[in-house]
Amino acid sequence: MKSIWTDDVFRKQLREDPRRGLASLGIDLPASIDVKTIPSKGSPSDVEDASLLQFLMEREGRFAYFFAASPRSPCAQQAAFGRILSRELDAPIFAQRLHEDAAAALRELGVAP
Amino acid sequence: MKLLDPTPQQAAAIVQSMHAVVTANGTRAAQPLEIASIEAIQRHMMRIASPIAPSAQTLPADLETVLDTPVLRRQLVRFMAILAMVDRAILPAKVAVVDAAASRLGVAENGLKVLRLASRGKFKGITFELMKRFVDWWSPSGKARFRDWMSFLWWMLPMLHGEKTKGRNRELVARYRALGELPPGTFGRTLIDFYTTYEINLPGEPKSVPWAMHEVYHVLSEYGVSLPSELWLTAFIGGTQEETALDQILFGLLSYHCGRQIVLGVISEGVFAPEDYFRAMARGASINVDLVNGWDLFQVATVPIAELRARYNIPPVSPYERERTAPHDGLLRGAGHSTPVLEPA
Repeated sequence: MKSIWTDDVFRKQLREDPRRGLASLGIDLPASIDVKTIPSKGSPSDVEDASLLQFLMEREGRFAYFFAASPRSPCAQQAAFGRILSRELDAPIFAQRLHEDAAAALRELGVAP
Repeated sequence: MKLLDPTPQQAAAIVQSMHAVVTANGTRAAQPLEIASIEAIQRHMMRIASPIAPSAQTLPADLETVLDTPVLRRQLVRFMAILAMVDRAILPAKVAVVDAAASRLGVAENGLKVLRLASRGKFKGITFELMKRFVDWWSPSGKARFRDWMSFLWWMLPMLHGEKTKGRNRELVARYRALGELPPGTFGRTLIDFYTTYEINLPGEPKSVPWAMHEVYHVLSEYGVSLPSELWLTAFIGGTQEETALDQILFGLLSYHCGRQIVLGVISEGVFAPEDYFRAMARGASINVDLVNGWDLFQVATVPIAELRARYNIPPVSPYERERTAPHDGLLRGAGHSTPVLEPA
């Protein structure tokens, strides 16, 4: 899944032909299930053209879906998972958080102080 | 919005009218999601334990006679507007049924304009309409005049602010930051903790908005920031409001269920689940205070938030909601909330 955010060509394929793109990730969907990708930006300042990809699968009016969120977009991660799962250590906001409340910032990284 | 307590005859008329929308007056088959929505509306907004089936798929001939109060009439039109969006296609034939009911019932509902724009694919028009409604509210006169638009845009463009405004912004930030010094579990402290946890700039800070209402609704409802929770939140907010109820609700459905880009930010499709959604709306509709007009968060900042929720008659998060939100961490955590902080694995 990491390759979604490191490989622009692959990300483009996932947007334009999600059935084929997901198959290359080992997610084979039967033809009876419609699949589409809904791209959006977590924040206008996100570096990717779309930092959140939703894969929506639909059959006979019933839905299932999952998200892929850029590790560089806290907003996209919050939208997908309800919280920030990863952040870059050199992000200015992390430096600020570390300065204000080091224990909480380290907990967010999964490091129990 | 109001929770309804209709007579059996009124309930039958409301249910039949709701079916008239989703079938476009009996010309299309209702989808499973639409039927589930009508049942969930009955359970949560009409307090009918065993949902009833319609006797026909067209608007009742005696609709105006049976629905004899403004509250019932307005609420039915709102339900119908919501149902017109559930299939995500927002078909003009369904919107026409909503318009016909509103006309017969004499209901003028601002949200219907949004619905009509959506059925014609005019999504930029919706953005403008919702902004205008917001600036109406923002304006001291209650009507968006040219000077109010300019004032609103100026607020949103901090790069234009001079020293005087920067000074006012510093005061505003300081006022909010002071809430962070309140004891854990108070409303003010819980609100500031929300800003900190989700890395939202405080009012007055660069790239911020000079009000905190959306965040207030988050902490009062305990709904988190994942997309399903944001959709629940729009239902909750709509439930708490009257004049602007459909603005919140239709924006949420368009953005998170229909996948339409109304404002910058994330969008999604198919996140709508009727049972969850109308349960959240009913939670909001239980509120006994008007948070839009004249309410001041600083006046209740020191009140323990659990006490404030009880004072405002907001029902606690149910075990059902807790279970449904677990996969996407959809409830707020920590002091002031009923869900504990997630410890690192």
